[in-house]
Amino acid sequence: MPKRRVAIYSATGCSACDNSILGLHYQVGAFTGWAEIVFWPYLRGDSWQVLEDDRQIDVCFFCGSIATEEDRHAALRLRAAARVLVACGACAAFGGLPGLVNLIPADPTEMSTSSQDTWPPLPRAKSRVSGLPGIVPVDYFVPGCPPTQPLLWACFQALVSGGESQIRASFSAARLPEAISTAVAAGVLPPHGSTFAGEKAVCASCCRAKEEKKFSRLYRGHELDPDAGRCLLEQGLICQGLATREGCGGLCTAVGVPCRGCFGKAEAVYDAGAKMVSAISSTFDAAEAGQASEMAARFVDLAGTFYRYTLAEQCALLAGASEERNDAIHGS
Amino acid sequence: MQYTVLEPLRWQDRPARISVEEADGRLNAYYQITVPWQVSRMCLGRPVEEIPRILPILSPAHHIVSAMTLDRLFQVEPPPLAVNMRQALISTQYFVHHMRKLYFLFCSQIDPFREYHIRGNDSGKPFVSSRVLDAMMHGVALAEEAATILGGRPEHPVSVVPGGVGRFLKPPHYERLAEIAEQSLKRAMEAARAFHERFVNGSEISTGILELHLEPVASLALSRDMSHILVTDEAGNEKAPIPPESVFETVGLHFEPWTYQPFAYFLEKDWKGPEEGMERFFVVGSLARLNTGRPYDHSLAETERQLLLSTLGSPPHFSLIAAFWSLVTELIDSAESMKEQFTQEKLTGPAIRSVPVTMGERGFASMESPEGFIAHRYEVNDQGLVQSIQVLDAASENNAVRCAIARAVIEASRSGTVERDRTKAMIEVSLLPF
Repeated sequence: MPKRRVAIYSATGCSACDNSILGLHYQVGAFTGWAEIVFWPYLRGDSWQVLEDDRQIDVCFFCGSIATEEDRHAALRLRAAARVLVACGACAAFGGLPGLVNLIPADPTEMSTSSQDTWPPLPRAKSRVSGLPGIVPVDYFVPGCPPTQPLLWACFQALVSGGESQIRASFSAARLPEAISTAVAAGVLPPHGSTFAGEKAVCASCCRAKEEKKFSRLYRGHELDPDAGRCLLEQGLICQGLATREGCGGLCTAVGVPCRGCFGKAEAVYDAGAKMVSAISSTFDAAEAGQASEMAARFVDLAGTFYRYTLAEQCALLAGASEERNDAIHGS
Repeated sequence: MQYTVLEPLRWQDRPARISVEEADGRLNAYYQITVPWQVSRMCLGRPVEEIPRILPILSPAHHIVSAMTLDRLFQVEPPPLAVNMRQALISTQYFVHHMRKLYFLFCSQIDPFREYHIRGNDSGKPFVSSRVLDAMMHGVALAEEAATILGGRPEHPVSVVPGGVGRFLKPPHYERLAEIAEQSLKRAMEAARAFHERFVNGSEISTGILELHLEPVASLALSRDMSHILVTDEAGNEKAPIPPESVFETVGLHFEPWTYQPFAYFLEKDWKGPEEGMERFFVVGSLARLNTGRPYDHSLAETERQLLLSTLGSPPHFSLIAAFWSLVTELIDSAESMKEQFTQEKLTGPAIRSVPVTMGERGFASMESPEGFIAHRYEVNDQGLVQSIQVLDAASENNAVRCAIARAVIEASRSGTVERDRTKAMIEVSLLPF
């Protein structure tokens, strides 16, 4: 069977996703048995010329958010060239941290005025950062900032090995949703649009115990040294585990810091921010209206907290937002 | 007028390219970062305690310096255990960063993924054997595991919080960290041996790949006790030390319309681009730490540094071989630091965190990250929301040096008959240690 032709591309990001893929080095020996990496600018320095022949890419892993015209063209070009396009990492899947810039207009003192008119030209920065799904249809998602290696490996096995991986029924694959793990084990493609992560919320795999499901005071992250082993939300810390897709195993909550949602919203959640407001409202133990008001006043930066990684693609209020609309909002 | 673009460049944290312009015998080479990194827009309006979870996108060390900035803002002293855990985390970051750079150097003439597949077949002519490359990446994986234990996640750590760290370690962690430290030192020494065999005792210096010398430039690094910034000029003379708190009054950032990466430069001299000379610029990172004469506390690293000095002479150094060699010495030092720090005694204590009870208006902190000197300054309103933020990162500080390197390699290539692909590869290797 011919090897799958694989591309890995990074748009606006920090190279953590590339390094996570590079870090699969123990599996790479097996991986290159069924895959030929034909395009990886970060590691191999491949130019776009290598994609100019008529041969299609079988699987493309696209990392990074879409922040420039060049990123957008790369997304369009790789979508056209690849049979299967994977949004790899929170930036590609949801816009990631760079998507936070959509909350305020550009600061001209910080960002140079990109120019196409003078030499050397610089790709024009878009006024609105988006994720890959905001530009082209995406076949699969591997969330996380960066994605964890077990999930990356499960994705590689599912999409690239084509049933040839001897270890496809691995532990990481077995922990995926049933439809995906069954597909991986059978050597067929998982359902289109699948996310290589869990279905439930982070709370389902968090090591911390829920006890009272009530809290009477909201704390900012620096104001409390939380009890070990007890749910952070119950202790009054804003933790987004209950609205976030599981798969990381609760990495952040395990070290005593709240989840901020880098795996995107859980399957059953429509909008992570709305879910969080609803959950906090129902968990807060307020006897009087004044107490509730005081508590509400302690909520700060809801958009920047509840949509930390997902503002560009998963905020229901901004659904369908375009660069043109963003320009109109900010008057630029 | 002739224009050439060399892209994409390998191993750059952000996509980059070299644009070359030639006219009437005059050559300009531009090192361009082609994607924006709008730090202020990401951070303004955020609760300040969240900044350590946003800025690690610049590099993992920014997580720690951001939390240190909050220590000052909230006027808290982290307990000794937290300080030790932070230092241990920094050591893993040095190890991962430097080992990965050396790995890229060693496989710069091959396709590492193809090489893994055809292991045992020498057709790719790697600088070192696949076994050594495997060992190096095994070392990276182990150090990342240690970083996960100490920082929650390796690439974007989360566990350092204002006033301390987020959790205590447990007995299995101590055992595993000790194993990792032992293994990491072996991997570091193995990488050092490979470097010596191929680049110091071997033929690679004389055959060209590391022959390049940078245009002499000042070096800037934080003193070991972090009390002041050391600066040596291009001749190696010490200049007056700079109090870290005043670095933003000493160093400015300049934006050019052709790159998204600003240039850091000494404010005492007017802005002129790197094509006008390097007198207003400086270099940071392992080469700057070598040039500012920081001896190591650890014996193997200090022995390696002395060997470097006896082979290449006294600092300052501006050769590429010195830049890579300084990575090797610091790799060994980080592994020795891990051995010293990854003990139950160092990583045990009664408290992990001091909870702040007050909040100031502004905070500042700086540190030496693997990439070089970094500094943060935040101002907040009475709700603790970020009103202004200044970040000095190593990428901006080395931006002028990177431009100068690109120009030097292009000029060297132009005088001979070097192919375009070879020129691009030489630039990539030359940029690697900065």
